[in-house]
Amino acid sequence: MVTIEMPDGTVRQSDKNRIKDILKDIGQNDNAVLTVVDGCLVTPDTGVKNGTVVKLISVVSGG
Amino acid sequence: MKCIKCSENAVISLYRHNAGFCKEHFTEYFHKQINKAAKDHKMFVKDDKVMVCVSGGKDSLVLWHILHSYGLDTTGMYVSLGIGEYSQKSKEKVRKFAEKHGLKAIIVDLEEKGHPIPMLASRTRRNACSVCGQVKRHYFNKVAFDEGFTVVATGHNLDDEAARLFGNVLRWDTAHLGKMSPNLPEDGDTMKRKVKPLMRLTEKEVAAYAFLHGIDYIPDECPMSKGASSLEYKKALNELESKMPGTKHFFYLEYFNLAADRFEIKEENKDKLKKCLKCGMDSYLDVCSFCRLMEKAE
Repeated sequence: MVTIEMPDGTVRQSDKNRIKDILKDIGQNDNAVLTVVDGCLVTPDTGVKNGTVVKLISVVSGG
Repeated sequence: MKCIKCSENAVISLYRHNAGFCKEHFTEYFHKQINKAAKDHKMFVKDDKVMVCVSGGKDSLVLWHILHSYGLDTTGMYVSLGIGEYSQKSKEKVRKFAEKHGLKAIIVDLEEKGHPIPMLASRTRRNACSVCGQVKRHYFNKVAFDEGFTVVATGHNLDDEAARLFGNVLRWDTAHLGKMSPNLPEDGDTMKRKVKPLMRLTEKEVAAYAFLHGIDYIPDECPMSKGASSLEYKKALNELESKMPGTKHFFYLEYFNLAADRFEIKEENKDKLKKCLKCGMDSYLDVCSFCRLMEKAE
């Protein structure tokens, strides 16, 4: 399983192993977040191993 | 994914350009977009004294960082909105950024002035985002005029502007469609030129630039913006963008090629500008909208 730290501080889990699939699995639009693994930005085609922690940073601002 | 320009791993994929970039080439791309926007829309002239409107968020701090790196004479201008911890944290980000880069930040504190945004919204029974926009515009204009700046730069990005255009089209708000330009000319004697150099870059690209270059910003959304229509427009546009990359870019940038001239503000309206009897700023009425808001809130 992959652990996802959501922008609001909550944590989710996914059994997918590609960022693009993980985002789809948790219903997160790729355009609205930065995806960080081990402190580095990664692209949606990046594969991740079980046990990886994926951090999502919201990029949407305004009102 | 590999960088389209070298063999390094990409740190960002830009589907609308069918490209991925490493840090170095993403930075190069980012600067090119700003230079193109500035050149195409004639945003700056030599010896401009630039006031950068900053909120502590990614867009404005990235903009300030870049304009300063280009050697422009920049000063930050921050309006502390009086929204509890959010305002305290964002003010701190602005202060730290200015200190780190040896820059000056002008701070207007609405709490100290006795009219924080939550109080104004509550007393006037108006939407907080609308009140906030009006108050910020007033202080941006007033400080720029009082301090002798020649141009006001804001961190509005492609998503902000596409969402605003989308909202204005949905309502056929022709008055606001006429003010979509990323380089609004001076208006009257007191309103300085306003430019939006990040207009060609998405929120994600700006956030990625901040992340990659260690620009410390407040990532939180304003707590009073929940349910704001602009966020709904952004969400809708991001859904379209996922299915049809390039939609936001085309929608916003082609507006200037194909439709903007139909909504230009008529010259004759400019003759109607007068000075607000209370604050002295240009206004179409005897008392400007900001001063009327203050009267209503008292």
